[in-house]
Amino acid sequence: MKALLLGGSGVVGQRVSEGLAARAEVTELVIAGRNRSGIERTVERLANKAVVATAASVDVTDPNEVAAHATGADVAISCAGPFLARDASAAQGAIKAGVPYVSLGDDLTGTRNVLQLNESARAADVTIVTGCGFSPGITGLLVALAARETQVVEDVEISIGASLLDSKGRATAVHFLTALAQPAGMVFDHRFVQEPPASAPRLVFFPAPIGWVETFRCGHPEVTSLLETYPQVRSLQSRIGLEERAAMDLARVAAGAGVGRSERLTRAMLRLGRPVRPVLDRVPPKGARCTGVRVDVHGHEEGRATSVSFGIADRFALLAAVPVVQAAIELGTRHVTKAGVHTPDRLFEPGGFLRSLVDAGLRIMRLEPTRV
Amino acid sequence: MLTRALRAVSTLLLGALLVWAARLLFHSKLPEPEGEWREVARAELAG
Repeated sequence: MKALLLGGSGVVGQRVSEGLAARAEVTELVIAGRNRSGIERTVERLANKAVVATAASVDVTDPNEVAAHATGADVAISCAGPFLARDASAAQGAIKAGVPYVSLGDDLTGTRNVLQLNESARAADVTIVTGCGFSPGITGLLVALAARETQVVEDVEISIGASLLDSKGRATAVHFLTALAQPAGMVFDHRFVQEPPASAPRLVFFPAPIGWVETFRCGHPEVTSLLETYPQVRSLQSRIGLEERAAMDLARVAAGAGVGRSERLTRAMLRLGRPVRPVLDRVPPKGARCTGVRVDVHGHEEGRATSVSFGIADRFALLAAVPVVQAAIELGTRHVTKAGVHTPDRLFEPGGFLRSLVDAGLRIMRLEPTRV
Repeated sequence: MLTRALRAVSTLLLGALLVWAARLLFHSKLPEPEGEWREVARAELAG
């Protein structure tokens, strides 16, 4: 099968290109993006692989350019973040070309924009999957896994423990500040409310080697997508925190000052802050060079309260790349087809999809609480 | 006047820095683990 990879020069894009090249189903891979030298480096890295890899310059914000390059491919994959302005345009291009599409889309507004393309995707008979990284992506699938153990899902909490040392990509930093600066959409007492961003600090315990991380409410796409699956839920929220607490404090100050509300301003601030970053990396407590996700699902089953917590901790690029590669294979081989726009937990069978992630090396953990 | 203003600003900055350092130190004392993370076997994921 032939795959078009948009945003193949970034940290995650490179990992995705390696993941795709390692799959026997992929015979041809077009690495596309704005950064010509970066995508050419990615192509060079694949020189000794069985796949035929080529580079193409594509402006992901232009649906016509995306469509022109996607025509003839079996699947289009987007790792071109930040996704606020790039997910919907890339998805539109794929719909025009009539090619299945999967993205790492992790921006709240970006995801809403892609979900609005549902009718046009259905009319064009194209399968579109948005948010197939670790958050959203793995998180939604873990919620579905936990929901199997409860009759009624009442409370859902999704937490991300990120590390400066593990995610050095600029798009990731922009996304982090955007998520922290947006009003935190959440469900509280069965009502959708907007809470102040970066508020309500709370320690969350992640799988080893991460442990406790101070997290804050944030605007993340799961709140939109999971609310469609569990409309009766009493509470639903996303939280995010940096393992490096000094950097987290600075990020909160920056988000509070409005950095994160505009991509240009965020990039400018990140450029200004570049000399400080090596210092921040050294201020204790240091991060575990590992990223963690955790989902907590509370509910009841036959009158008895249930509580299930799943988590994963691994390298950031791997956590993001493994699910998107698996989804690309499922879509590109037409193993899964369903016209319209979907989130992974609503398209793939959670158990089967998570098993394929385990086969690819990820370890899904379950919290066995200490009995007091 | 300018010297006084600069002195006030630097005192404020130093104070904020001390509070921040105290917060980082205080938060380095974390609670006991909430429980034990157990790896989910592949078979447990079957529907």
